[in-house]
Amino acid sequence: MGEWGGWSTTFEGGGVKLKQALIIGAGIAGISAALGLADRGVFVNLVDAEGTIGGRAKELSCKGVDECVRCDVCLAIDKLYEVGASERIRVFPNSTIRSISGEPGNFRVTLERNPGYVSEDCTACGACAEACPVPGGAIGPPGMGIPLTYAIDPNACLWMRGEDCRSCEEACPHGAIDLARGKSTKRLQVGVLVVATGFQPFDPSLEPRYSHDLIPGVITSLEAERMLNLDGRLLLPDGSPPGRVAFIQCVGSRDSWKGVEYCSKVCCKYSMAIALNLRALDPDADITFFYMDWRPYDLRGGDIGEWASRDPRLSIVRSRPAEVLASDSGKPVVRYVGAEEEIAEDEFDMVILSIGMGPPEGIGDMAEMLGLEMTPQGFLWTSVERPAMTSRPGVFASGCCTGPKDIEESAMEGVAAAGEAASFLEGSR
Amino acid sequence: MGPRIVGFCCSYCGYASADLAGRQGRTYSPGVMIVRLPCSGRIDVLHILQAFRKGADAVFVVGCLEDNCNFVNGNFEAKKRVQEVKDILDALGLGAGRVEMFNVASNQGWRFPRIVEEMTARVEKLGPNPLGVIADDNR
Amino acid sequence: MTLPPGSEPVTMSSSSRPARTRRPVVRGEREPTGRIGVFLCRCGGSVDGRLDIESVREKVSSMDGVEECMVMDFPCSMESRETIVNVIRENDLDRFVVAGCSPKAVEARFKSTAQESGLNPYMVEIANIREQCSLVHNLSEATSKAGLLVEAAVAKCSLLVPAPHHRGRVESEEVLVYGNGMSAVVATDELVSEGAKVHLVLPFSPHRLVFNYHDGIRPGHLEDMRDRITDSDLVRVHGHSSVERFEGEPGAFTALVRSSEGAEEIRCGAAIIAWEASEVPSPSLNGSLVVTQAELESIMDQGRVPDRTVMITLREEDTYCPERITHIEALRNAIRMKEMDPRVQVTIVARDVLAFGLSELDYREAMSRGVSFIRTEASPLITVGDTVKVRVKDLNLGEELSIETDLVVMSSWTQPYDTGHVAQVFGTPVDREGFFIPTQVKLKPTASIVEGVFLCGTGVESKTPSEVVLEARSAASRAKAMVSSKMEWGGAVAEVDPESCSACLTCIRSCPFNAPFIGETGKAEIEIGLCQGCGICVGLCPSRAIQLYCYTDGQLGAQIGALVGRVR
Repeated sequence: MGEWGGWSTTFEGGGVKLKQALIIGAGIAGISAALGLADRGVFVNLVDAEGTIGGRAKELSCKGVDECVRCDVCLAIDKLYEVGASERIRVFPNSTIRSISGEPGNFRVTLERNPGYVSEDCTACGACAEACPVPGGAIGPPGMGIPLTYAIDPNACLWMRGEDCRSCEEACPHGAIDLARGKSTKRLQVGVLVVATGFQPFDPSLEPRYSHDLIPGVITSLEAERMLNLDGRLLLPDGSPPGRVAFIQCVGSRDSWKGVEYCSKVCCKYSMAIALNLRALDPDADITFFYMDWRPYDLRGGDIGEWASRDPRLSIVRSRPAEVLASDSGKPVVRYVGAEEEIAEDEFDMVILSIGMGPPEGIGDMAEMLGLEMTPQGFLWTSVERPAMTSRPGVFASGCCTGPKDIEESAMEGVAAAGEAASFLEGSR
Repeated sequence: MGPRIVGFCCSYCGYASADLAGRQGRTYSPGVMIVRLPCSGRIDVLHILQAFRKGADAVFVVGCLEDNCNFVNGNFEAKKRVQEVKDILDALGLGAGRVEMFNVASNQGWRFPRIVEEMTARVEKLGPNPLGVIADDNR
Repeated sequence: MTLPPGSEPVTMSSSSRPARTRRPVVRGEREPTGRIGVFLCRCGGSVDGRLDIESVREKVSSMDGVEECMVMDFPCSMESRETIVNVIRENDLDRFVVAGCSPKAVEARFKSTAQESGLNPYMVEIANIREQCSLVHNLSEATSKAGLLVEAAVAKCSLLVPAPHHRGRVESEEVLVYGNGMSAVVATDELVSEGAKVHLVLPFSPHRLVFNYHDGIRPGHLEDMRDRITDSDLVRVHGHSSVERFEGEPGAFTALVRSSEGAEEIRCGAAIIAWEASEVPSPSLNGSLVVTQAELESIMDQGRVPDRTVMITLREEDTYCPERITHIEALRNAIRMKEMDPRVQVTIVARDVLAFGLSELDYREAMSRGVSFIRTEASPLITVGDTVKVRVKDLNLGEELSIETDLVVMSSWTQPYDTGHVAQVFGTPVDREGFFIPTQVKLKPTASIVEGVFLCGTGVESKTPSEVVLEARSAASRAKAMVSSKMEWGGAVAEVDPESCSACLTCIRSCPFNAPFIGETGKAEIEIGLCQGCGICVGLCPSRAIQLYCYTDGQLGAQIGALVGRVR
């Protein structure tokens, strides 16, 4: 148990299948695949471009107050600590794939380790943060996820901006910070690959009519989640709680003008959870949903119409707003076509844009490098009959990189990838 | 050290939330002592009363969000135990506010310091434990 | 009762079932302390450097029972582990405390270290002086608090008792699949592909199964899979049978399978309930003018398509209850009708069109092919004569319309049948409508509340065929992984003291996992393989007859006393 490189099985084609896996992407799908493979005795190399593993779920928040609203975020976070406890999973943070060659059963991979500047020798002692001259600090704990190495905020750091400040490097007692460190490479040989690179959230600046970058009270659902995750409350930039909140659904989904025609599946579910959280914390807040169709993906959240019928401070408007303008006092005003075909304008304190999920960055290059087919929507193609199986044997894909889905389905697909990959290595299929 | 407060935390959510608070660099009063339980449902009226007998100024119990208990209904049982202790404290004249049940999620690092803040504020209102230290046994 | 230092840890022989072997019983009295070792971790500067570890070491070294107290760099590392093993052996220690980072990160490692030293793995206590101390407080506060935390850990550790535990291969690597439709076939196919042996128990189900369209799955694929599994040597099919009894623990279940030929007992390591729901016929159906989507498909299969069709996707009830697959189904059929004959009129009546994900593209295609949509709130009124009239309030027009049409297609709602019985046999709860309730915790998709029993199929929730496939294959992968790996039983489990037990059945009624039972002696006993270690029963027992290893009242009391009990 626990050997590092020995195991392999003979392959009918005459080659040898190495009982090692490479998983690209350490979000919930990648982690589920990693744990599933580790359970089956396979050695896993788990690679992620970020400095800590856990993927997007780290940015998301628990949305329950006293009662769980089943958003699954805490469960995704809990899973990532299991990776640290496993002795068959080796994590490569700050790394990307430079090249892959070879064949199913015996892939040769070159990883490129980006200069995270802070190495694994970091013990989170905090000496660097104390030494940092930038007000507010340009280096700090990642908070969630593992490993616990401190990370430099590239926007705040003076060195990254070209100035000659090496205070953190000098302060570090373990030599974990090396600002001059360049990229390094690592070679691996594995039997199977699993792609789990996640999704790219819709960029709200591509919908300028919703004024995301112009009006302070307009935020995306992801920004709302980050705010809740940090401090448990949704607050306006001036620190006050919003009395009137609007949700605009389908931003960056169901929109042929933006080239995204599909439905992102999860937005109705998660914005309802955010709204429930808001309602539990502030029974007097006025909440309005602007939507086209209400699509609660797992139906556990209940029906929005039913909620509206018993909550006088919840309104639902079946209309896709034309734009969000600023009032004289700088508040966001939503302009839409009302039920009587009139043009209506409603003022709010905060407008939350429920943004959709797009294919992850670099998916085209990844597909080309691995020789994988893609779907017309730009995601990785996988078989419906054999989930997680791609167009190439020995290469599997799971999570949002194969299409928008929620945390539970991502985990399921990760488990399916593990089953497929393990049985591919064992030759039992 | 500040008021002496005992926090009984379930291994899944409560304890993880306290761990996360530490990782995120948050701070709270050092008088808080955490006792780990497998589930908040393990809490017994006995343990909370013991803490008060030994001189704790306040006690809180942290379990998972309702409907998210790792053991289904441990947190509901814990809530009942805490209510029983509240009734006892009221009858003794110590103040029911000294004990409380909280439900948190494991990824809510911000919540743990808030709980400590709230319990510290309650101690300020109610005053330190008038019993001092009663017993020195370990039963 | 403590075992002499260096003796074998308590384990079960592999041939006997764990619950039946004698173990030491934990009581509430203070146990004599053994020889304790304390290892303080510097944690590379996140502990040492944020508090004065040396003064903690000094304080703890002078405690009663502490034979050895040392500061180490990273006791969790491989090199340090050897040092610890040696220290334990050289000093005859029978338990130890590690003070450093959170037990949630390192517990498993130190359990192994204990075992390597010949100790019971549950004779270890871990004090968190990092995430809950050094990272949170300033130097002097953290130092005094760390002293208290380690003292409390030592006090608790001195009362630890070896816990019963066992780790070994499962008793049966076979998997039971119990179900009546597509998910059972897919789950079995996945198990066979992964090399597992399967008992496929097919209940006789008179109700129609719900799968009328293919959702990207090739026609005939399901039938091919079915043939493949019936021919496979790895599968034993029990046709027209039902599971009458199911007991045991993960890795060692026994099921009583009854068919018309009699009853048979089978062993399995895991089980998958792969249950489908059936269509609930709408009261308006009349077989010719008002039909289901499935009947519409049969009509189309015969090459016919009506001139005018109205599809109704609302339930005939006052409250709005959406079904997940209703619109996905309707859109597919509407597109097919237009493909067969672009001139036909197709109207879909809906409140919200639940075209999740890529089905949205079907929605667009339907619209572009001229399918009309009427948005309404309440279920329309249907009058059947020579043709059918549908009265519906169109929300967009604000008027009530009366539409004459040749065919009305009613979407079906689904309901699983016979799940109440299955729920009782397996211990997996169902909701009011009969759908199985999956467990939410620890993100175990497809898991039920009973460890080792997995759930899949539309009997859990209505889903499309592609979703059924994903879920069934995922459940099968997990079941296979479970029977292929080592199982661990025991540890911080509950135990009843038969002398104090009054057989009041409180524990049996309150345990969510069915672990307690009344044994041959007439007193309650806890099945170790099922006990999850929550301790709910401990607090509820009116006779105080139950204790939980590693969290006994005595141990917790010692911890509380050390943390708080100081004269002001």
